[in-house]
Amino acid sequence: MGQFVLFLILMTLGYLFGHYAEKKHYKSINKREKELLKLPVISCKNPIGNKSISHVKLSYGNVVISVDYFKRILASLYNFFGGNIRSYETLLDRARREAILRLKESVTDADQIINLRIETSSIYKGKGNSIGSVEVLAYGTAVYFEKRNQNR
Amino acid sequence: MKYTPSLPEKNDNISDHRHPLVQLFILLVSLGGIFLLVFWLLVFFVDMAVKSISMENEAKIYTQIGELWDYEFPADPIKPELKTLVDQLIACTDIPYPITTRIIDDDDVNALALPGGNILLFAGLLDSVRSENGLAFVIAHELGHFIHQDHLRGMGRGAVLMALSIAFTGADSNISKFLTPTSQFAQAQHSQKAESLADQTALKILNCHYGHIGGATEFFDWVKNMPKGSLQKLEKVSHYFSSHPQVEKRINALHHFSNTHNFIMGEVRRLAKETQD
Repeated sequence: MGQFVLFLILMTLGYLFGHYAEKKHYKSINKREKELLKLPVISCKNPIGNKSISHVKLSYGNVVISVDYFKRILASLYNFFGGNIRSYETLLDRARREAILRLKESVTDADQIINLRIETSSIYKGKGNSIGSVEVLAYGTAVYFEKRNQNR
Repeated sequence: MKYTPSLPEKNDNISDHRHPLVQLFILLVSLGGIFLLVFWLLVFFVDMAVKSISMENEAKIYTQIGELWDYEFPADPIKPELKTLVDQLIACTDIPYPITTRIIDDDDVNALALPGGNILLFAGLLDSVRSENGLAFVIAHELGHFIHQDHLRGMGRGAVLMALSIAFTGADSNISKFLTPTSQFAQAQHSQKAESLADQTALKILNCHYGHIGGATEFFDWVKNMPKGSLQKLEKVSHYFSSHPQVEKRINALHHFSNTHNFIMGEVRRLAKETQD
């Protein structure tokens, strides 16, 4: 029974801290996404428009997020019944968006980011092969157009 | 091609927008429900199987673990008076295998029936009962467990529980912890039923031996009337009652059973000093 009480305490702490962290993170993501909206990031190989390119550079954004105890337990319950594991969906959604934001933030002076690619991997396997932490890497090519006034 | 800066109105990457606690509640209730249903179904088959195993065959199953009890509970030799009492009570039953009674030198007010025909009487219990009949009821209660083959049922249930826990959650999974209260609930229900049945059998044995059931509730009355301040002692008693129905409820059940079987109350015999020592 003592083990069960400890488990409940961990669950409660996991829920409280995890919920707070997620809420705070989403708030930050939404705010920063609005701020960086004007910088196009696309998955096409070629930039939008016919402007001549001055130079390009590789840019990437990387994030590692850990699963809290509550989410892990909720996911293991979903493993039994099947269905969408919502607790992991929010985790990966946050990780992907954060990685793209970091990618954008690394090249705020670029005109476009093309050829966006996203890769996900679990960098730590928890107990019994359950997911511990996820890494999301977003990378692309930052394109800088030639400025007309510079040409003259 | 033109780039139009915009953000999606809603997040389609998250499928279930219900509150995580609501999700947890739904999952837990479903898992617990399915677990209990399968558990009870399997236990029903276990009980059917136990019924088909004779007490002789049951004794054979326990021959291997007899030596374990010798090692675990090195017993004090019991007084001839106590042995006679136990033998007389056994004569009122159809238990085909020998019963070994052991006195454990411990303050616990407790008695246990262990598989293989072993009864453990704790010294604390012998100090607490006042009459021979009161002690006889406790011993008869433990004999009741042998008659109902409760150990075999317990082993069967334990095996079912372990198999189900592994099947449901995997051998080393966090969600097995969720099933702890569910399985404890299921087990406690069984234990209470087994204790009530053992009480009823004890009454029959007592009536068979003394011709009346005087002193049957003596031990429970003692527990009930214990001063509230003696918490330390209560703790020791509580172990005996941990899986047992509440004292008051148990006394009432005993009265009810004796009334329906027309058992009569009679004079109790004082417990011989030699037995207590």
